[in-house]
Amino acid sequence: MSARIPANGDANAGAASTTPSTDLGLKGRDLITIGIFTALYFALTMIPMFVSGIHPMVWAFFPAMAAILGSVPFMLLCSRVRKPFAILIMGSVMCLITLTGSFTPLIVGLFVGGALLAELARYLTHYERYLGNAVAFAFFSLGWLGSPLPIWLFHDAFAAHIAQAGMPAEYVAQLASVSDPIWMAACIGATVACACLGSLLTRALFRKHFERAGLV
Amino acid sequence: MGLPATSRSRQGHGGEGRGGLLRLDPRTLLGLLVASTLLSFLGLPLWLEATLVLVLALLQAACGHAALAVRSVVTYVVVVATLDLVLARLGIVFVSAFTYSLSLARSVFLCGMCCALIVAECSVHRAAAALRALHAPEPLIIPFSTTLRYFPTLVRDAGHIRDAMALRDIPLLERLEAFVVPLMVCATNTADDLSRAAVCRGIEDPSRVTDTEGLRMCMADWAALASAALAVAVVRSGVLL
Repeated sequence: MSARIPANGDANAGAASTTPSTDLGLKGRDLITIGIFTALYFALTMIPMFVSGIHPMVWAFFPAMAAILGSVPFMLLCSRVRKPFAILIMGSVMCLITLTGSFTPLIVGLFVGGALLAELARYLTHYERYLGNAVAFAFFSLGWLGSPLPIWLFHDAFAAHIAQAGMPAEYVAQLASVSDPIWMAACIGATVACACLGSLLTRALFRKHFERAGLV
Repeated sequence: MGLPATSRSRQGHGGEGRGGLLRLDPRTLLGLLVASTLLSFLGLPLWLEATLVLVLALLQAACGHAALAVRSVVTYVVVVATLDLVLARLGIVFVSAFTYSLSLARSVFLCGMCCALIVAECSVHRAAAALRALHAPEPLIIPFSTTLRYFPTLVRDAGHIRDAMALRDIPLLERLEAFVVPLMVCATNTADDLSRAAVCRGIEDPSRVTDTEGLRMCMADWAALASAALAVAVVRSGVLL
C-alpha cells in the first residue's frame, strides 16, 4: 500500500501525470485523484441526506438515493485509478470525514467493510472490467447504511437518544412505523438495486460524455 | 528534520498575526473535536449545552477569532430559540422537516464549533502536519488533505455551473445531468492539474517530508485536552444530568 514509490529519475514525470501509470503501486497523483473524487462522492451523497428529515421513511432509503448520485464519481475514480487499495483509501477518508459529524460508529465499520469487499471485487476482475467496478460500488454503497441502521438494530435506545437530543415527538413516533425489520431488508435491497441502477446510468454517461471527452 | 525555531516562526502558521492569547496545536483541536463528538452522543440538558457552547466560544475568542465566537453564540441562540420557542408552539406537519434539520444542527453544534475553530486556526498543510505527527499513514494523509482542500473549489465550481445553467433554458429532467457532467469534467481537470503540480513539487519523492510547521504541545494544549476529557467523563457519569 506504499504510496511513495521511489523516484525513477524520469524528467517527464510531471508531463506524464495525466496518463494512468501501469504499475500497481499508488503514486502521489493517484492519491490526489482519490482525494478529489472522495470529496465529490461525499458532496453528492449529502444531497439526499439533507432531504432525509422529511420523514423517517425517506431517511431509511437515504443510502439508496445516495447510491444513485454517488455512482458517477465512484465509477470515474475506478476507471482512472486501476490499482489496489484506491477504494479502501476512499472508504478510510470517508470515515475520517464522517467521524467529525457525530455520525454513528456503524458508518465507519460499514464503510471499511464495504471498501474491503469492493477491493476484493476489483481484484477478482483485475481492475479492468466495468462489471467488477459495479459490484465494488454495490458493496461500497452499503457504507451509508450505517446512518439509518440504528433504527432497527438499537431501536429503543436510539428513539430515546434522538428524543433526548431534541427531535420532535411526532418524528420519534413516525420512527416506530419503520422499525419493522422488513423495512431494514427493503432498505438494504433498495441500496443494492439503486447501486446497480446508478452504475448503469453512469455507464450511459460514460458513453455519452466522458469517453468522447477522453476522460476514461 | 524540523527547521530551527527562528525559521519555524516565519513559516505559514494557520493563525499567525491574528493577535490571539492562545495558539493551540492542531492535535489539541482534533482532541477537542473528538470530545465534542462524544458529548453530542450523550444528550445534554440545555444549561450544560449552553455552558459548553460559551466555553468553546471563549476558546475561539482566546485563539484570536472573536468574530467567529460571536457568530457561534448568536447562531446557537437563534437555533435554540427557534426550536424551543417558535417551532415547539406550532403543531404544523410541514415544519417537521425544518425542525428535524434544526435539531440535527443543534445536536452537532459543538462539533461544528470545533470544526470552525480548526478551519480558522490551521491551514490544510498544518492539519496534514498534525496527522503526520500522529503517525497517520501517508497514503491516507494526502487524499484526506486533498479532499479538505477541494471542498471550497467544489463549491465555487458548482456555483459557476449553476450560473451557466441559469442562462440557458434546460428542461427539468436534464438538469441533473447538466450539473453533474461539467462538475466531473472540472474535477478530472483539477485532479490532472494538481497532480502535475504535486509531482513537480516532489510528492513522489521517497524521502521523509520536512516538518516546516514545528508542531509542539505546550501547557495550554495539555490543559485544554485534560478539561475536555474531564467534561466527557463527568457528563458520562451522569452527575450533572
